[in-house]
Amino acid sequence: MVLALGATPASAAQRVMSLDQCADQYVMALSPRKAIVGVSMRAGDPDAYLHAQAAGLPRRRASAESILAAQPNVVVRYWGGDALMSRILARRGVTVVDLTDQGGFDGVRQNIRAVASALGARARGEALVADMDGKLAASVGAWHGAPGMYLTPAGFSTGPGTLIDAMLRGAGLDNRTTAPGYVQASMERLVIDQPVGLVLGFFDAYGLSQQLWAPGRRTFVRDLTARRQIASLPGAVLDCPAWFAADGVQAISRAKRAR
Amino acid sequence: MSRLTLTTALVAALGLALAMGLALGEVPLSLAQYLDAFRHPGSAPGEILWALRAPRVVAAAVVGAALGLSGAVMQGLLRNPLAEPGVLGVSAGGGLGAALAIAAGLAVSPEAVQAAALAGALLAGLAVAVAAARFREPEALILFGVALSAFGGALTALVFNLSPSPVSNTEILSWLMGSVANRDWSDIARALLPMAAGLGLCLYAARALLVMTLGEETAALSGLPMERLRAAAVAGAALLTGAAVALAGVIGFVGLAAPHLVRGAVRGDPERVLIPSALTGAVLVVCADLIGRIAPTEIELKLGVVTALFGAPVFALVAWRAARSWSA
Repeated sequence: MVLALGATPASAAQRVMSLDQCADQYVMALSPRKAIVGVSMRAGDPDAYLHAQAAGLPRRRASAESILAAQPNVVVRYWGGDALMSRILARRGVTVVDLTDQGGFDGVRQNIRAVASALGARARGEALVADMDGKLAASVGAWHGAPGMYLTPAGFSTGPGTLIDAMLRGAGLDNRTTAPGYVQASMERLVIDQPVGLVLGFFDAYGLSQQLWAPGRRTFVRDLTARRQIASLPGAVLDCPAWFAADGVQAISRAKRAR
Repeated sequence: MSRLTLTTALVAALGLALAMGLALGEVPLSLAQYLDAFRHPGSAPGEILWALRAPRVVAAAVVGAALGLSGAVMQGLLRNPLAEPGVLGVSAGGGLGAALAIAAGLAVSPEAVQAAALAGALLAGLAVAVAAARFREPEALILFGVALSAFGGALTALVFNLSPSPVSNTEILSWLMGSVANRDWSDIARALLPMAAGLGLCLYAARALLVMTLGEETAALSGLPMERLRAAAVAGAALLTGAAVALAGVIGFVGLAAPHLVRGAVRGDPERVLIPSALTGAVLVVCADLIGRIAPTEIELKLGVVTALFGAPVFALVAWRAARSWSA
């Protein structure tokens, strides 16, 4: 079958494409649907925050050939593609918006505003920011500085400089992981510190028992996560520096209020 | 098979592979769109053919030729059918350089990553050249190369280990898997200079390879400047490999497989196998890249993945034959 170059229905003024699952969420939230000429192949996966909205949108590979065939004038990317591809697109007059790996909600606001500006959707962008800020304001300080820690099934935690650290602090938890970035959690420290709250991430996608070489195979970790878990956040709110990270903050704070 | 016949056949195969690499791709084009691409290079089909596919297939050919030639030189120099560019540790050095650059936040500058990869490869090549000057025995050089390769791999793993961001880890991994996607003419031009120097050195050293098959003592009596020729072979192979790694990441097995595919046609002559190996390497990488592009997968297959998938069985076959010859 021969692909009709640029034949996907879209407005003449704006043709938007996203290259990965994170960028998909921004594009689907901020762009008029008719302007979207392509989303990533994983846009409809269950772990995508707006996966239901991806139905009916054209899925495309994050390759330069596929992008040029779709003829977008704005491309949004996070991990999809690479700098070489951005260079090719920029030389052809395509606006490339790079979402950045943000260490806090200020950075998320920057991401939202950058995409909204490129798409000419400032009002929608500000509405997303306001919604996010509303959830953050309602959650602030819920745990009053209680020690907490983030843990994934593979035993990773996060410290300062990450959005997840900002999420924990946003709900009033004192993050006990102090090493910056994404780090392997110390099981010994976990046992000694016994943090009041464990915020679990991605446990919806991977059960502890499935991680044969991960901390989850240890009985004490299973017991600890059962006793100390205060929230289990789905991958959909964790794998993208976006406004829905505030949903995670809200879930953590609600866990306190439910006690 | 005569040298002319072999070369003609390989050049024809390369021409066919390049044409297929240009004509086929992720986006199928109609005849009218092909014609449009030729008449209007700035049209969308023209952009796909001339701006995306053309530099890509040329980059694949250049990388494959460099690795094929480098592999043939290594196998001749080390008198070992299992030798390949990676055995010297040069690929690992290039990979480490790129990984460090990406971890340092330079991923937004492809030129910087390319330069770092080349610098890493050349540093490793320098270490190998020093070892080659010190030790005559091929086994010593192989062992030194294996150690250097393991050390480079360990340092790259350390970069992964200490990286605070999964995003940069993903970028490093993606680079290490090898690709010629999105390369443009300026990227190729930057790689050509070290490749040309490497080609010159390898051709200069070629006359020593046949003499070396007679043994070190005979080679020493040949009247050829063996020390200089050996150093030129090592430096040439390192330059070719380093430039290939800088342009396309780590592409395994091409340097191993290409010489073996044509060695029989030149009756095992380590000098005459050089150019056919380069042409074969070019054909292999252009075809591997095409397979990666048109395979019906959600995500494009990385070049290094495709070459390894096809190259590993060849490696097993070579090892099998070598083992049989040892036990005979």
